[in-house]
Order: sequence, then structure tokens, then C-alpha cells
Amino acid sequence: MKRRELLKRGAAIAVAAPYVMTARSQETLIVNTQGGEYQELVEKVVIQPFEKKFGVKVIHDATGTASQDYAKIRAARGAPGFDVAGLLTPPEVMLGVKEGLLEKLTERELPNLKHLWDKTWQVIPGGSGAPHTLQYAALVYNKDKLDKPTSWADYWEPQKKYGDKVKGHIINYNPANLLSVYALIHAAQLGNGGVDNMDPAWARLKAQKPYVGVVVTGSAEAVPHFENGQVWISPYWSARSGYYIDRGLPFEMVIPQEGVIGLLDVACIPVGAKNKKLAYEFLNWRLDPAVQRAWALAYFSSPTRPGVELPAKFAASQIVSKEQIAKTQFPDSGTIGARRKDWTLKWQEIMA
Amino acid sequence: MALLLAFFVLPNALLLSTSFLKSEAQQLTGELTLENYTFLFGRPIYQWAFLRTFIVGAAVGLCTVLLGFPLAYFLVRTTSPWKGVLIAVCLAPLLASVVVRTYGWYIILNRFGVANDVLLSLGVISERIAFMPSTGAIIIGLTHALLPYTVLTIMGSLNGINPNLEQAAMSLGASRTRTFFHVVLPLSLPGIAGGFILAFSIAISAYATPAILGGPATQVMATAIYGFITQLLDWSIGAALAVVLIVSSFLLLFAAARLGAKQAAI
Amino acid sequence: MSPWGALRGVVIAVYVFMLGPILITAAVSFNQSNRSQFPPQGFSLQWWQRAMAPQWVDPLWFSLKLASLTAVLSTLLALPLAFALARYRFRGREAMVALTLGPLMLPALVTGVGLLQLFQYAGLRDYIGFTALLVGHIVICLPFAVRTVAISLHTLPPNVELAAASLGASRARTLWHVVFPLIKSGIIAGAVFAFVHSFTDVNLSIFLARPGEVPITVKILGFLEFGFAPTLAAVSVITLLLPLALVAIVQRVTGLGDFIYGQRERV
Repeated sequence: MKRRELLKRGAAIAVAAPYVMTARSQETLIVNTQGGEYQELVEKVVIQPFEKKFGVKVIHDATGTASQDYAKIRAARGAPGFDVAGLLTPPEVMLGVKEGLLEKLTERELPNLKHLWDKTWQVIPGGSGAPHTLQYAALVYNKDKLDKPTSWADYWEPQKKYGDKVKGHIINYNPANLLSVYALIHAAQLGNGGVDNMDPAWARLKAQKPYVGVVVTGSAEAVPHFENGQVWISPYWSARSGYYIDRGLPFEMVIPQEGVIGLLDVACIPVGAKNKKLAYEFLNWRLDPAVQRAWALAYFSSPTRPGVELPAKFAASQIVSKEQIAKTQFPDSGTIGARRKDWTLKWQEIMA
Repeated sequence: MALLLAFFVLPNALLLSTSFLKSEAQQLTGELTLENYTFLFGRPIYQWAFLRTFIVGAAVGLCTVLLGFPLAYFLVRTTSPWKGVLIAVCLAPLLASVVVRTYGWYIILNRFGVANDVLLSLGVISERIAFMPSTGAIIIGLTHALLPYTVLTIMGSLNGINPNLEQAAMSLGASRTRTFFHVVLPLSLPGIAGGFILAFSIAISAYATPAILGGPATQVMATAIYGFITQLLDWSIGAALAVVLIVSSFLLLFAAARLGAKQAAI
Repeated sequence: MSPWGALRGVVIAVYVFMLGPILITAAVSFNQSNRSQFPPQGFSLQWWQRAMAPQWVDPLWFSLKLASLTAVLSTLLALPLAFALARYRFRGREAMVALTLGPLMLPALVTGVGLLQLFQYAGLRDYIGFTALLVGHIVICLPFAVRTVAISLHTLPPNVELAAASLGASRARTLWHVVFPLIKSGIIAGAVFAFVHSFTDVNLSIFLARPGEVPITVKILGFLEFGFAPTLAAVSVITLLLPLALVAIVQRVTGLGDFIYGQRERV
């Protein structure tokens, strides 16, 4: 063989190699969902049992942020390479419905949809996705450093309760993270505002700024600051708080007297998904009572359907009863999506 | 060339053209508009991001040359048996992952970090300072990340200089300093300029480091572009920012090339 | 202090600056607990063991393949481009300069999103993954190769070629026997740059990767989205040392000696 020929063949093999590796022998489903420290969890509790029951292979694709995953769905015109977008939040779901990039779901494909909390369909339009995890933005604090906070005001006006020692120990999040948006909505509500009138929030943000020592975007970025004792009080997702506190972080989670805002993690199917049939099965499986229970316990979150039995001690910090659901706020996702840009700009101007 | 046209110009044109489209509630419409540009030009936060980007780029270029030149000179002239290892180690910052950039710098620069401890014990500062987020931290982080490019580029041109030339200059009575400024430095200018431009160009488009070491108060163009495209999902404004960035960088570089007539650098 | 002594002082300081954040991160990987503390508490190798799991090794291997192929192909493409830029004045030269600089100055994310759209529109959806990544990486790495080769061509006196030609050497012979050996170090430095740039890219790759064909950088970023663990510190040390070792091996095997600093024969 001539050398040129050899080189050519070599290159062809090198290029083809990855495809050979991923040659598919059985039916596969590509699911985009939690990675990192949660990867093992989601595989053990959700994915592997699903594979076993349906005799299929699930390829786990770790997500980025919800909006980044949506950006990928948009750039790929609904065919981002995964069959299930497992971790979108309501604003992306609303946008996906408007842009026609997410498959419409009905009870015919997903019988479990009819068992979910009714409230769900006030948060996202019916049939736009399968909300599988319910959690909320709680307040967490370092119990070695601070007394227990009781109100969102203790975060927004920390000096009133804790004095000047909290200077530099307050964290603030970029509104690219819904956590920040929710905290700002609470701030607005403290001054009788809300999603439709955020002015009181901006006043509180300005007042809080001198006490802020850390500003991050992603929720995970906050953890080293918690661990190193730089941040003492913060709004934080209930599920992740549960996970880190369980791991030994000297923090405690509280539900402030004003209540909390709930967050739905939603699984959707992009319109260009290759294996829709199996994707429907997966979404329906995700809403199955047994899977809901196992996932809630593992992830420190609440089921999205009523009637899932959980230990009382665990349920105490979750949203499981009709009364608790009624008390939890779910601000209009459409409004949040539409205003988020303006809020982000306002936030940047104040924090700059 | 065709490859660049097909896979660089075309895709970017595709995305960047959306900067002339009106966007409503995160959705693109077909309507042509310059609104995205007026939106940007009218806001101080983006005017600052624009300025900061080029200040950071120039500062990083300068710092990498100032730190890189002595290192490059040393590495080219040293006779140490460790030379190979020393050069290999130079590549390390280039390969440092986002983890190093996040965690390593955080440990050093945060209010309770190593830098504070050292400066406090030396008595340089009397109370703790948060070194990050700040423009300075971005410059430090990028200088670290891009130093290898400058060092290697400068080494390339220093190698081209015959050491006998230095010997000759000195034997003719020139002092060491004179030799350096009149022989070594001018001959290594293409490398210095090349290193500077390389570091500058990458610094103005870098995202990870400014995102980590800068905060909301210290946005640069790249972080703003990312924010609009992947966080706010408003592609038309993100695209407009990218257009502004690329057009102004080209203008700047070509102006520099004209002025210095340093075609060699490009 | 002698000037050389002073220089050594500066060099040591620069090395401390370069290695500081890296060594700190490396130290964290030996923490006993799952908390990323510095200075590390206790000592354990369990995070290193975890970093050797397939979920990290597979993307690492993928990245190495991608970066090697990118380095070779972009260097081959860069040679004629660099030659044209360094040796000739022609119409459209400035446009060409702009084209070879553009990918450096435009944030890679923009190119990534654009390429994903392009592959979609052109019906090349099935090539998303390795092929798309390769194309994208060549595009963003080409400038490094072009510029490094061009710079070494500039340092080369043009009269070397003239001299060879006047001695009756054909154009091809001049290129192969005279020019090529002289710019060899520049070419290899360009290839190393391209390799490293491809190996460390994350912002373009995020959009062009597909499950099972994910570079290590994207994998790391995905992990960071859900928290920081000492495993990540261990993985970062591996992703730093492995390419360095590879570069060292290439250096030995190709027998090019000190290729980066080009110990070429003194004229």
C-alpha cells in the first residue's frame, strides 16, 4: 500500500471510530438530566430501573443550565441530540411552547399527567411538559454564625437583625438564576409589590448591596463560599440545601414566615426527538408514584402529585399536602420570562 | 480558505445577522431594525463593558509581555539541564481547566484568601480586601492563562537571534544594556508584537475567566454576549454585541498595523 | 547582583505566579472529606480513584483524539495560508488576515451556536458530534497554527530562499530542504498551540457535542453546574498533566529535540 493510501485509510478509521463505538444494538433513549454529584443519584433512582423495566438503554447526557439547554434546542431547531430535555424550568417551557419547539403531550401518551396537582397547570400550560420535581427557594443560614432568621427581611435587611458583623457575608445571585428572581420577588412583596411591581425590590437591593460579599450566577457556585464560611445567609433551593446539609454543611434551612415560592423541574420532548415513543414512556415513568417517592427521598424534594406517602419528618420540610400547595406561591412564569431581561438589566445597574 | 469561509463566516453570519432583527419577548420576528444597537449604545453598562474589554485586552497583552519576555529570554539562554522541564511547565497555565480558574483563584483572591493572609502578615494592608470580583482580578486571571502563548511566541523570535551577534556587539565595546536595547530587543520585536496581539485577541473574547473573576459590576463584552444568548435567550441583542466586538477589534488591529507598519506582527 | 541573577529572581517569581493556582487546586484533590477545603484536611486518594472512572476517562480519551486530529489537520491547512501571508502581497490579503484572526477575537460560543444552526439548516444534523466538533475546532485553532508559522517565516531572512534558488535549486527543493527545516520549530509550536487550544475549548464544544461524544471540558463544566467536589480537582490535574506528558513524548519520538525553542543550526 502506498503511503498516501495508508494515511488516507488511517484518517478514515480515526474519523469513523467514534461512530463505531456508539453503534446501537438495542433501543436507546437519550436523556438530558442532572450531572455532577447528582448523576449517580438520578441513574440509580430513575434511569436504571427504567432501563430494566423496559429493556432499553438510556444514554445519560448531563445538562447545563436550563436556559443553556434551551439555547441548544433553539439553535438546533428542536433537534438538540437528546430525546428528553429533563430539566427545564417554567420560563423555558413557556418559551418552547410559543416557539413550537416542544412536543405537545396529552394524557393518551402520558396517563400519569391527570394525577398531578391541579396547580401545576396554572404554572405551565397543560400538556407542555411533565413536571416531575417540586421544590422551593428556602432561606439557609450558617447556624454557627447567626441566629435563626424568620423572615425574608432578615436576608434583605440583614443589619437590622444581625448588626454590622454580617457585612461581606451576604450572597446575591444573578437573575439568570431563578433563585435570584424568586428572592427579588420576595423583596418586592416585603414592600407590598410583586411580579407586577418590582420597585420595592430594587430599593431593598440597593440597601442590601453594602453588605453583599459574594455575587455568583449558578447555585452550585455558592457552595465553596458556604463551606469556607464566607457566606452566612442565602436563599437556596430546598433540594440542594437538603443534600448539602445532609453532607455535613453547618447550615440550616428555614421557611420564612412570608412563605416560599415553588419551582417545578419539567421534563419535555423537543419536537425533533428521534425516539418519541420511548420518551413518552420515560416521562410517564418519571411521574409514576413509586418513582416519585424514591426520587423525592433521594433528592430532598417533593412529589408533583398528591398521595405519595413520605415519612412525617421528611415531609415536614416538603410541599406535600393540599394546604401546603395552596400556601406555596407560583408567580406567573410568562411574566417572569417576559420581564427577566429588564430585571436583569436593572439588577446589573444596581450591583455595578 | 474555503473551509474558513464555509465554517466560520457562514455560521457566524447566520447568527450575527439576527442582530438586525427585532426581538419580542425573547422571540425573533422578521422585522428589520437597528433597535438592538441603539439599545446597547444607550446604556452606560454596555459602554463600560465595551471600554473595559479593550482595557483588559491591552493590560493583559502588556502584562504577558512584561512577565513573558524575561522568562523567554531566560529559557532561551539558560544552559540548565532542567531547560526542557522548565519549558514544559510553562505550558501548564494553558492547560489549566475552568476548575483551576474557579477554585485556585478563589482561594487566593477572596476576602479570606491566601493573598489577604500574606499581605496582612507583611503589613501591606491593615484590613481584609476582596480582590475579586474586580477588573484587576480579570486581568490577573487572563495574564495567567495567556502567558504561555506570549512566552513561546517571544522564544520563537529570540531563537532566531544569533548569540554571536550579542558577543560581537559586546566585543566592539557595547555595554550589556546597550547590546540588549540595540540588538536583542529590536530583533525580537516581531515575537513581542505577535505575542501581544495573540494575548490581546484571546483576552477580548475570553469568557470563562472574566465570568468567574469579574462580577456584575465588571462585565466585559464576552460575558454580556453569553448572558444574552444563553441566559436571557435574547439572541438579537447578543448578536449585536458580538458584531460591535468583532468590528471594533478589527478596526483597532488594522489601525495598529498601519501605524506601526508592523505587518510582521500580523 | 548580576543581571543574570536578577533575571533568575524574576523568573522564579513568574513561575510561582504560573503554578500557584494550579498547585492549590491539586492540593484540594487530596482532601479526606467530600468538602473542597484548602488547606486540605486529612489525606486520601479516593478522589483520584473516582477520577479514573469511565465517566471521566472516556471524555478524556475523546478530547485527546479530537485535539490530535485537530492539531494535524489545522497545521496542514495553515502551511499554505501562512506562506501566502508572509511571502506575497496580493489583493484580498487583508481580508485573509482578518479571516485568520477572526476566530480568535469572536467568542467561541457565537461560532458554536452559528455552526449548530448551520449544520441544522444544511441537513447535516447527523454530523453533530465528533465531525462537527472537528470542523469547529479546526476553525478556531487554525489562527494559532497560521500565526506561529507566519512568525517563524518572518524571522527567516528571505535571502535564504534566494540563495538556494540562485544555486540552482528548484522551488520545491528549496521549500523542502531549506525553508522547511528552518521553520520546523514554528510549525510544531503551531501544532502544539492548536492541540492545546482544542483540548481546552469548552464554549464551542458545548453546542456541538452529543451524548457519548463529549470532550472532557464540557463534562467538567456539566459537573460544576451541580457542585464542586475534590474529584474535579483530581480530574483537572490529570487533564493538565496528560497533554503535557504527551507533548514531551512527541518531542522525544519525533527526535526534534527542543522543538519549541528550536535549537536550529546557527547560520
